[in-house]
Amino acid sequence: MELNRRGYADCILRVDLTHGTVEKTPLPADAMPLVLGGKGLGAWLLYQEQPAGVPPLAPENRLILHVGPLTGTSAPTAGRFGCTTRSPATGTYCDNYSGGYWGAALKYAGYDALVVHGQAAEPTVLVIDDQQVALEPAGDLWGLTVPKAQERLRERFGSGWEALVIGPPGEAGRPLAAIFNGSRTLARGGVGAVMGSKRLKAIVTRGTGRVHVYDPERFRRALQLAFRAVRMSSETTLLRQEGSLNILEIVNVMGALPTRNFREGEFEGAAALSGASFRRHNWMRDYACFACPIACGKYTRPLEDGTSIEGPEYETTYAFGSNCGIADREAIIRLNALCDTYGIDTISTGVIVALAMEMFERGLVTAADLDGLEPRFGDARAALALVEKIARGEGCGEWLGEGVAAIARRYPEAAPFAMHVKGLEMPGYHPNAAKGTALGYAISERGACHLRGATLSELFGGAADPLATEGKAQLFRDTQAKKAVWDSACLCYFSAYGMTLKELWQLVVACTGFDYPTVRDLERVGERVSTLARLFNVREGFDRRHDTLPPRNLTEPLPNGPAAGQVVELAPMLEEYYRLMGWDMRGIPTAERLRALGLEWAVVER
Amino acid sequence: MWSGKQVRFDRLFNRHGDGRAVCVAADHGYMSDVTPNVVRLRPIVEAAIRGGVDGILLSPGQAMRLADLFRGRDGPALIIRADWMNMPRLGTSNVANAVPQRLLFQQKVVTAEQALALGASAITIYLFLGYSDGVEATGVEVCSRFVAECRKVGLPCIIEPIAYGRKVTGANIVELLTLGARMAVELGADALKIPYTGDVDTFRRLCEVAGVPVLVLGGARSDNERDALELFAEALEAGARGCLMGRNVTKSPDPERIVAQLCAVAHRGWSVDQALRGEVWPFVRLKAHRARCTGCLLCQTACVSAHEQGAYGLSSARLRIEASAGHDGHRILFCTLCGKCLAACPTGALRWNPSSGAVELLPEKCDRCGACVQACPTGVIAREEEGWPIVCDLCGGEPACAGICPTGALEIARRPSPFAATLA
Repeated sequence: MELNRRGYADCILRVDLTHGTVEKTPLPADAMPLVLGGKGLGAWLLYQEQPAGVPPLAPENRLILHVGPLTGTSAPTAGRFGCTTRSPATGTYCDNYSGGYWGAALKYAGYDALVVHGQAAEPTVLVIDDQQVALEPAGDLWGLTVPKAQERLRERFGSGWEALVIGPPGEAGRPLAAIFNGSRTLARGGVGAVMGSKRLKAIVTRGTGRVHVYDPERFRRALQLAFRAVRMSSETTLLRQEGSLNILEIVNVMGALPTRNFREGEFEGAAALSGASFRRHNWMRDYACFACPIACGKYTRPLEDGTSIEGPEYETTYAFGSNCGIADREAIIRLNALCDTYGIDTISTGVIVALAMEMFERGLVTAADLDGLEPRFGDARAALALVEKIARGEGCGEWLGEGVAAIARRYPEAAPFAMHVKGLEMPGYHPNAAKGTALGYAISERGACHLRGATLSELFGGAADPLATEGKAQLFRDTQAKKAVWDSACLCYFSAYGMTLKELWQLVVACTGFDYPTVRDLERVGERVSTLARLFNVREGFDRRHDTLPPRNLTEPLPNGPAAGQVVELAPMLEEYYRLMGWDMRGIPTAERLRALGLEWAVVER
Repeated sequence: MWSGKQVRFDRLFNRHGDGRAVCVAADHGYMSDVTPNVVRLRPIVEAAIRGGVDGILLSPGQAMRLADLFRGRDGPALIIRADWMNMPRLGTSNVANAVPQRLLFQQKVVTAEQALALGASAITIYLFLGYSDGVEATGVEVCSRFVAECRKVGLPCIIEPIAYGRKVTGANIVELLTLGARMAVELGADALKIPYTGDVDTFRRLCEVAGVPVLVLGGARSDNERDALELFAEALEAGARGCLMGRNVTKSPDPERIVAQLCAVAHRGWSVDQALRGEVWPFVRLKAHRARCTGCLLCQTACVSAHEQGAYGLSSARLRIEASAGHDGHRILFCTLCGKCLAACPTGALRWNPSSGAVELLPEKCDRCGACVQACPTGVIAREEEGWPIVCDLCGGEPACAGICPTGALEIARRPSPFAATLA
């Protein structure tokens, strides 16, 4: 099978930083129709090549960056790329996706994946110039913030290059550390720390090659249909007008906007934080990632001191806004800018700050524990001071920056309201007010996540009653498969607000020529890939015991709003989901189902 | 009874004697946000009538207020929306400002007799599939009651199947709509209003399965003017008998023009390009609006694939987007047809192509000196590995870069003939 005529470059670039060696190998040809690429390829490589029990920050942990068959074509949002590794924040499988321009550059340089392992002796920058690959010293970059390092790389390499960069928290192995790609990020689960543990400060890439599709005429036609579907969608129109923040007020009205560390689901300051407010007062220009017809990114007008960002996104605004009780747009912009400068995840950082605020208000910690700070909900100055400490790893920031699960181990009284699953801080939809989403958080292979199949359509797609549990296991299973297909073809999920699986199937079949006779055959890829990710976690000792939510969701009824009185009845949904997936009641995929999915090699006696 | 229905059916479908109808749906007012197209409906409906619309779908209240617009034997047919539902308020983005609701409801609003009294030539009602068994059962009951009422008073009944809810996925939506089409016909629908299935083949099957006239609906408005026209042209090709376009008309800055374009496609058999431009443009040029550029580079990848069959990339594209530092936006660099390369060429290897009017390279005359590359003020003449210049050929008259541009930052504009002077 000539994979290089089917959307692929048919090449995996393997870099061993310990020995300073580079190797290029072809893709596992037989596996590609099974897993497609992107997430599927990452999950396949991580599970097959990495032994069990490798500590996340050990040199042997692989950092796998990957694109899909559609990456670099004209498909809507085809600049997406991802990374897969074992997370230092959770110890689980961890995949992240980002837009920007680096993914297309990697593909044009001639690679479907980049597998980095080992540890360099000195700070290093990996230089990929089409087929030329080199490791260069990065001593002058080490210790620099993200924007400073990006500027230095621009001076050194000039235009036409795309860079992945980490900040000082990544160098120090902190679990909040992200990988930056322009203003876009691979943010969750501490992937920046994995890169930093390898002493890899940056990956710069230039690609001038081509991507060849299998059936050019059919692909051209599929493109036309896909673009039309994306353009003729009121959701994508709203994304362009108000960014990801277009949903904030709807989530609030549904009583699902996490407020003051998830104590409530309604925020009185929601109007000030809405996309419409940011558009009126703060945004000045749209930003699009590679090949994106939507352009949901927004640049802010500089504040008085010149601070400006691309953002904020909904998740950042929830985490620092409603969840910290802050309704001040300027403060959100400054908090976001601080995270972007040092290179840390805004969701996790915001949830940590909210927990610190609740702990202080309850008297679990005092100013003496917090370097003299007295953070209360709504106090933007205290939030800024805390984030600065967390980003620098100084004073109380050192232990706060380990994440809410670690904080709860240090202060066990805080455990009932430490908002995380498997060690990853929770994103911005209150589980008590959206039951399918609650199931999604509990199951997600990388810890609490809204992007691993969480059924957000119950909140703003009108798909079902958000408070009902009935039918949610099936809805989650369908959404999870669809999401995994999107991540494996490697398009941005926002394109799915116009395209359905049908349009994606038309693109994938024309691009790869793979034998997927119906849309359902492509959907199966999604189930297979999610199962592979689950298998990685099972091998690392995760099972049903970890598919759970904090006590605040399971036993503490929401006090007000449309979801007042609600808690999450998780067990029935969980068990129904296991049954639908063919997993046993410990949450482990059965041998029978693995065989049915074409994963017989993964069957082991447990 | 039969003749009454036929008269009304003809008023809708046979104003041009071709069995086709271009209709506008303007019944959004009692289901979604209070948007300008809802509040200021009169001028929009007037514009649609000037554009030659065949039928207009209104809520009962708007039908009363706008009754005067339907006067006269050449007036458009009135279609009444006979039921109400709250789908746009189920937390979807159509209603950012309204209170979202949690469960789907459908409610009968008028009887067939009342619709007839309002002057209706037809009514439409929804049939929901995929949300829940209860909603589907209610829909079947409501539809069959309307069919019976319509039969009594001689009013055509248009049923609108909608696939919506947690059981609807990209894997089953076409099958659900096709099933819904047949269900509606079995219930007694005289015609259907139905969403496009996305491609000609599946929609052709749907039309065949239905066996009654099908009106395609448009969905949300696209910023790309081609989309609604292309969708309609495809639906007609598949066997549809017309359209019931809503937001693509009512939210358009120029509803009269889009209706006239739809009519040209339906009744005069014009191509989408011809309808868009109102005429055939023998020569075109590219036109840029820098402020609209988001820097997505789709123009560059489209340029490469238009010239290298099945290949996508950025390098050696015939135009270039340059990101400038800071927040100043992007520069769009493309062939402006200035002719400096022709003037600079020492061997006469470049000329205006006689059919497209674009720059053309005559390789047999080119000695690869690179003078054209130096002369190009926008720097968009690239060179192949062996040194041949790569010039923009405007894709022979349909530039792919402008075709894919999602924001209208690159547009195709009419160009006066480059040969006019010579001919004179």
